[in-house]
Amino acid sequence: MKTPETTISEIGSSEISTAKIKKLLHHPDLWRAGQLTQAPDTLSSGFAVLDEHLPGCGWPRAGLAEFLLNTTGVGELRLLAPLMRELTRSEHRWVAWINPPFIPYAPALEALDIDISRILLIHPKTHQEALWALERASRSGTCSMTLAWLDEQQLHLKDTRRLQLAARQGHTLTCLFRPSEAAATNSMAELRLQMTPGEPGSVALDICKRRGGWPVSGIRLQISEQRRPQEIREQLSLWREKKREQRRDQRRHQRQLQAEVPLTEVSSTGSRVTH
Amino acid sequence: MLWLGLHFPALAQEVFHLGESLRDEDPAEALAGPTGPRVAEPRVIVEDNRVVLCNAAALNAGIVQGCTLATAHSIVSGLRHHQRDPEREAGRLRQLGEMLYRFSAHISLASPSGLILEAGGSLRLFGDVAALAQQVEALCGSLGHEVCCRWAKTPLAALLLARSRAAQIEEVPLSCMNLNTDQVERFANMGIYSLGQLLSLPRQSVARRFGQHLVDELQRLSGTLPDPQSCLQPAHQFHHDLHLLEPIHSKEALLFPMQRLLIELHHWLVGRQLGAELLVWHFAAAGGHPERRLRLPVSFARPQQHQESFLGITRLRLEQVELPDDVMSIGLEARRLQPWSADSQLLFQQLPGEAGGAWRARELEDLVDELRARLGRSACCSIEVLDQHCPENAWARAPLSNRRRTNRRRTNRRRSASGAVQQAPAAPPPTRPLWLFEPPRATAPEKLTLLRGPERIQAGWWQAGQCRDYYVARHEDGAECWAFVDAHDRWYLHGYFS
Repeated sequence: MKTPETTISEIGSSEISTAKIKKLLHHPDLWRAGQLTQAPDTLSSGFAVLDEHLPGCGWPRAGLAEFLLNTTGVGELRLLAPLMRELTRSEHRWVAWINPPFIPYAPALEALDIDISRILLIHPKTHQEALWALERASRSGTCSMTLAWLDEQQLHLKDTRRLQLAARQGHTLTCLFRPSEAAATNSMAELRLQMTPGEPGSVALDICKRRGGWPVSGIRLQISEQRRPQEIREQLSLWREKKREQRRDQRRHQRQLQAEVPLTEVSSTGSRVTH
Repeated sequence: MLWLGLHFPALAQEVFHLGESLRDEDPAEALAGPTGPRVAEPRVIVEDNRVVLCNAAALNAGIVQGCTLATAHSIVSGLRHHQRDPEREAGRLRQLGEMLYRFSAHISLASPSGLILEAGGSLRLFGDVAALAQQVEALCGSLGHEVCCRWAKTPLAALLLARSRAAQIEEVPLSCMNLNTDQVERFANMGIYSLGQLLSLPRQSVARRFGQHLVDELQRLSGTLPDPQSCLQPAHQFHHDLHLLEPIHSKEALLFPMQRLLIELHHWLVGRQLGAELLVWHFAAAGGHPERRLRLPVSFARPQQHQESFLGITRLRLEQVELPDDVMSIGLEARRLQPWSADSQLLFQQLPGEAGGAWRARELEDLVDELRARLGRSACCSIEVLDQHCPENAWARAPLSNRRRTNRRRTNRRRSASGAVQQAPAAPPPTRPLWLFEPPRATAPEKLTLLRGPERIQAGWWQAGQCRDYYVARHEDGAECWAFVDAHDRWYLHGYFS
């Protein structure tokens, strides 16, 4: 009974410093409407801009996250690369890739400082097998992260629920990569991100769904080092020059072909004169 | 020295019913005590056309030991009988001896249905001899055998006590001794029925009437004459077969006898301190036709010992194969045996991926085992970097089984790379895409907007010389890709930067 009285008297004494209020505001039990909920266990995404918008300032350590993208290669791997680097370096668990559309290129992954000996590629033959493998890998607790590309036609809402429970049980972050049309369907995933290609080296992100917060759109992330436009211009001019040369060669070649067979010598001398 | 004598009274019958004793009763009940195979229908074992052993149901029906087979059939119409198979009994006795190897290093066979264990050396481990006997009985019960277990100062005394189930050596009836029926009858005529009575007779007169052999036996019994026992040497291979009385058609039903074999394998492995990396199952149909046999290998990433871990993977493999539709015999072979190293369990429950990252490698390999068993051996792999200039050869699928080798290769690579760094500053790493296409896809150059490049890669002149100019480009669908133009001015996509 004593403690509330003392706090009230403290407030009444009007000697509350701003520091005290700040301390109170940071209390984990307090939630303000404009604030994201405090997720219990997260890892920084490596992008400060994105961390601001993610619950708990980072990717969830356990759970289901969906990435909605129109085409493979918009930057989904580079978005997850800092997390993958952190997980493969700090934990001895697998990072399982289930049914990847292409080959994860080992030299590039190693250049990003990802421990590729932790990578487990799984190629199931059917959708059912893929689902089973994903659930098994997530539930087992031996994968820190699972990435999966599933057949969209056969994926149902209840599957996402199962996957989410499995991921939580196994303390795994399960990442599903789905086409953008899937945004219209329901999903149990706690985090859904829509990715669209932006400027070269960057990606535009919309958070369609997140725990304890409204959807956010128009986050722009720089996922690879900025190239100077001048450098690009230089390279492009080099390329154009090369192309012009090639075209010239081609034209010369065509002219040679057009010329009659007995006149080959004449044309060759003629060309020597022009150049 | 303390000796434990084991007697299997119903061994002759049990060898025929090994496949089904687990199907009727649950294993927990079998572990509770030496119940043996409890089968409802009357069954007898026949030798020389006479019943030598009958089960409880046959006894209740009124069949007595020693009656002829014709009499027994006239009493019970649907009687099942088996000819006694001494070879099978001896084989089973030997298997039992091997599976009991965990309790004692000194096990000897006492044909036809007894085992003798030296218990003195194992007392410190098991506490006292009663606890040891209890564990032995429980193990035999779980293997489907009724056993009587007694201990004494000499091996012969222990065996006789077990055989007669008597409390004192003096109470052992003479019929339990290794005497011929003629001698037993002569003693009976003299009014001597028990061993106690025989021991009280003067030895010299016994020797005169029945021969020195009997006196020697009595001296071995009392310990005045040494009784060396020949030790059982456990086999180096495990290969047990189980013959069923009725064909099994479903895979679910097949799991029970398979479980029984795995339990036997487990005890054998524990006794020899080994783990198995490869199991080979043999399933044979009724006719024994070679075409109707099935060999099912089940491999594991690391040596396993426990039947649960064997069973889980075996079940996954079993789902994928076509079995002969009437399986009559199952064989289990253990290959690639490795010394077993038990690892300690965690004292506290640790969350996976907790600080420290001390995640145990065995559980990682269990996952690989399970995925492989269900999806096929080639479905799982890892990747590694190779020292090749050509982009498509700079990586390879790495097998997961020999991880140690790949790791070594990787560290070698690292070391050489770091050595190079000390001599000269390394060039900035070239840009490589995260997704690689295999093979490269032909594309039209109009779809690409070039961003950076070119990087010339020329490699493999000794094969088919490749000369490519690589560019970082933006595809019209928005993806940043890695494209190249070859010597013939053809454009290809080789990867996405993603």
